[in-house]
Amino acid sequence: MRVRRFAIGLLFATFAVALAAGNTLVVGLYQDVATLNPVVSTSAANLRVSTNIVESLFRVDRDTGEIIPHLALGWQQLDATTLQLNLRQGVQFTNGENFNAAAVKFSLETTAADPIQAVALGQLDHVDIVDEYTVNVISKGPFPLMPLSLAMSGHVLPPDYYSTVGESEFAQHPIGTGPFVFERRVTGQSITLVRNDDYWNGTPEKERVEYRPIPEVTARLAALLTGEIDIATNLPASAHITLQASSGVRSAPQLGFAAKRVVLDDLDGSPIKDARIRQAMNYAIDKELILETLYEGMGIVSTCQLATPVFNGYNPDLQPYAFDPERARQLLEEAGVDLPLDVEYKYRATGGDKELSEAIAAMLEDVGFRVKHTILEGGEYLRQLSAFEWRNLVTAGIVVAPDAQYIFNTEIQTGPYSYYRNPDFDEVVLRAQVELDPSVRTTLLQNAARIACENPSNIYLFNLEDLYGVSERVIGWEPSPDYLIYLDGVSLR
Amino acid sequence: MLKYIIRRLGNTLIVILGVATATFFLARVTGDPIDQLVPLGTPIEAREALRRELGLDAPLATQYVRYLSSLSRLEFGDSLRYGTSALRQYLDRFPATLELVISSTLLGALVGIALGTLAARYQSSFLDRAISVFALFGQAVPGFYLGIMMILVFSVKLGWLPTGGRGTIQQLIMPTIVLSSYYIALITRITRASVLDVAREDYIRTARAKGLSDVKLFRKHVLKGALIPVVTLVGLQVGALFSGAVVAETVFSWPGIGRLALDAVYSRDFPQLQTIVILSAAIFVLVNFFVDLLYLALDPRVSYE
Repeated sequence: MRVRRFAIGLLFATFAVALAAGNTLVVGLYQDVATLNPVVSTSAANLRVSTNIVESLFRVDRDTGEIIPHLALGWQQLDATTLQLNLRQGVQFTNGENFNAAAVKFSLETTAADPIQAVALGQLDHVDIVDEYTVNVISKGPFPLMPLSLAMSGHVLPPDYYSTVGESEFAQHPIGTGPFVFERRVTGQSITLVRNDDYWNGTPEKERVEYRPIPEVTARLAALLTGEIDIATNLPASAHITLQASSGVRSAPQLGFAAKRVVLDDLDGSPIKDARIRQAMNYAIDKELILETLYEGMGIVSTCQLATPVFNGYNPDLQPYAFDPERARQLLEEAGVDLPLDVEYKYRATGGDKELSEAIAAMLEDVGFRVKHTILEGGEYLRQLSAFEWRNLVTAGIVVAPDAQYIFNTEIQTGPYSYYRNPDFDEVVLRAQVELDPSVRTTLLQNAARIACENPSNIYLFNLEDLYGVSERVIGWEPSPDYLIYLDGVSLR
Repeated sequence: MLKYIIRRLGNTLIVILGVATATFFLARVTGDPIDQLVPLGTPIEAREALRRELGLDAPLATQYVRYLSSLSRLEFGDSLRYGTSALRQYLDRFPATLELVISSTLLGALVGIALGTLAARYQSSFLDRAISVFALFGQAVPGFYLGIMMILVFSVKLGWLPTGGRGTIQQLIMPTIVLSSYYIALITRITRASVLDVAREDYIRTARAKGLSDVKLFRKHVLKGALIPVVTLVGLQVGALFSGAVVAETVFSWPGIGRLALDAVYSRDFPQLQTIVILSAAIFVLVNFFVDLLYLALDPRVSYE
């Protein structure tokens, strides 16, 4: 009897789960979300969830990389340090607080005070309230990146609630103006959001969204194939074929704002200080072949710059270094080095970097280098970066907002850990940092790209596509190049 | 007896202090959490400001004294990654790992003892060899591979079980099998050897000579004697299961402390890492202590006076 009751209970429970799943969009993430407070993290892995609760002043257009209005309707550069924002009217936080100039002032000043936000909002001095729906954002100096920074880090918080509960509690129970409202979190297992029926931009179709961390990639793909989740993030290129061959799911690749590269050591004492040697390294690598064999061709060969075509400052005139081992050998000869030239090559074993680096090393050895391999654990790899121990060659990636300035800022000599020494480059980049005329600034950035191509700071490899697996039940969702997952317009079949 | 217990508890404290110290220094040798928290290009001043905020700017000795003084008040600090109480994180996840460890211990002990006994009973038969091969297989196949294969077969191909997560009985099945696979093999082999050893003892021969039936003899005398080394092994392996759970928890998205530990290592989340290691060490030491007490019940020759 008891067994039967248990069986019936189980049946009902299963049925209830199935029903809930029918009305819930489930996203499988590659790691557990550390925080839901967008103030204390700039990592897309965390913002992917919180961005649907706490919204930003601007968004970035997925196709053009342009800044588009969201909670702010537009901006005007009043003088060198004043950016005026017009705010959307009639928007409320889900706890009833009003979205207005006071909320924006509170949010931006709170966010800018956190050292983690130094790249995005370190230049923000303070915010002046002009009227209920207008603010002046005052920067410490001329800062042309402010609108883009406000898209990346201009998350608007409900001032009363945030100051009452504090940073840590807000991370547990965030409140914003977004299309979804935080419902509950089961530690390590799931985060559930429920639809905001009063959302200013139209009520979302889906009643609930659930995020589940599924760290193992095969398990994440399997969960998509069995219908347990609707969107699987961070799949490897090899999953593309599986997705195409499976029914009920599709492959959704998206070129992001990231680049794959080998950082070249131009510091004093480096064996590759001569620009010709670094050019030879670029000529030695068959980028097309590696892209095709290791990444299923999912991406583009970088055009001698790290920016993708949607970046501001992308230089359309640059071409990739051709694969030309003969030219590479010739350049090494011109540089007058004794062959084989010994270089140390550091990389991580994870994320496919080992295979990539081994392929690159083999191609370098083919033209006359002798490569010493050093494999680093992830934390040690980062420690060495800031300790200036990334010597000779290091396989790395870079992810920034779509403006080449962010890339170049990491490469100028005054950058916190730059391995590139080129006064011409520094001069152009420093001028662009404070140039408020958009077209002049773009030209400066394009010049900087040309300089760092001719006298290479990197072996320029690829801009890879991020791969998502999407159930065919999902309608109206496409991946975004900023890695965020916007779910306001999404419905389920 | 009481004296013995007090002495053992004192030893436990010493072990925990040693573990706490080792974790503190080893973690700090391996890198800097600031690198993991800030984006590329963050100015050095901002990094230093964050370091001050997190109390990581003080000399190591000062940090160590602060750390021990908090520990003595049972304060474990906030996780750098989650920004919330590290103890809370641990306690929230502990039930999941405990559930997995208990189910795996039960499955491992039941199946292992049953198979080991069968193998000993039918020594050198086909069944004995089949069980040996099975045990060898269980010890040789990496849990990671076994887990992935089970997902592909039982979830994707057959659709019988969910791929991961926690909450239902079905979700417990695959992680339990993966975690206990090695364990089953180990217990099978030890049980078999132990049963064979005991069966050769004089007192068994005497009991048989007195006309005891095979079944009775086995149940009353052989099994009880043979279980002593098995119980030791089960006890010791509970600790190993906690650490082995990392693989099963990762493959099956099981929200336990194994995964929390792995994330803490990767992100150099010192407070979280310290909490996990200290509490896990405490559990390990206490479990062993209880196993020692269990001997008293099983073996009348053992005495701790």
